[in-house]
Amino acid sequence: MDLGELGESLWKDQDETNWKRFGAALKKGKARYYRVNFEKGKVQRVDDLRKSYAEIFDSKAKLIAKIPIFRKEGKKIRGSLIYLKGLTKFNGE
Amino acid sequence: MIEQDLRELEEKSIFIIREAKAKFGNVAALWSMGKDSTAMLTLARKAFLGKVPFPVIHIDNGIDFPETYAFREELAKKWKLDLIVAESEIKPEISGYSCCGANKTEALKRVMDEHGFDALIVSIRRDEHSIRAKERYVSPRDRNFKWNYKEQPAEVWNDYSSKLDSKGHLRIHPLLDWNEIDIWNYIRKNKTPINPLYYSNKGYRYRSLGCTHCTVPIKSNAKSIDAIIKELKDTSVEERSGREQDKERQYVMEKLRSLGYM
Repeated sequence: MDLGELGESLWKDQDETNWKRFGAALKKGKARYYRVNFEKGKVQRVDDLRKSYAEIFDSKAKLIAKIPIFRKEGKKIRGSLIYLKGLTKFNGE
Repeated sequence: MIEQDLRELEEKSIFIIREAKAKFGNVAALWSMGKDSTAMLTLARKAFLGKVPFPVIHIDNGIDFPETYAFREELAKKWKLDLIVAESEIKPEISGYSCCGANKTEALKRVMDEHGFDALIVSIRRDEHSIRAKERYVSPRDRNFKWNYKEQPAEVWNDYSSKLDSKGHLRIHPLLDWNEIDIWNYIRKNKTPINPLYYSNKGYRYRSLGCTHCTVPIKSNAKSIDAIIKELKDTSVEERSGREQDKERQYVMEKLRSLGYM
């Protein structure tokens, strides 16, 4: 599966195994930049955070994946941006 | 912003860090990979012959910037840090300011209990926020992590309180009298590595770093420490103006700190 497909699978299943698979593919692939997007306005509730997502871009600023930013450990929810380690924040349009 | 004498600041801070290590064997330090806590680690290395002789704790909610995680890994390896990553949960039933405060405080309580730390070095400064201006160099917390900000110990003639509640801990604040520009001058002088997010990237940089959800960048073209310092000398904007939780009312920040939030 390519990064886009792996990213899609994360929306269905956010367990650690799936995230590790995505992280490994990220290191081997052409990903270069990320951008985290939130619900507009002030974050007041975690529901807003659950609607956040990250976009992954290649070196030419082409969007290659759109992923959630949470992982599940049983009933617990944790952030998962560590899996994007190595990427640079995208400040472009 | 007034630049202070770095040697005086460094001397006092090193004294406080050494005192904490001497008096409380089981000391740890919080490290957020920001400029202040990284400057504090520089001070610790100077205090103890190039080593950081206590664990450093990162309270990780999982939504820090990827650059922060990369920087953590790189510097922990380079400086041989005894790094403890305390993962915090994000609880759906907690809303509002508690997203950051309560979740991180719970993780901190857990790691303090697990390791039995008596003192925690925290790199806050008085000039960052009015509530932090009330802090002391050595500040007691009770067993519930609560801070009695209305009854603070006096700290006269370098006599720092070391009275500890039997199940509480002490917060050690070696950077209290530093200001933002002092931190940058110190980082420049000591060539301290810093998180790359502090530098401008296409016209934006972070002046104060938190997690991705509570930090917004500022417009800036500063791509070097010299440029950052020059920018700070000309600015009238507060350092933490880009931090969402600071936009809460004064009461909320006071409440957060009294509950044990950093």
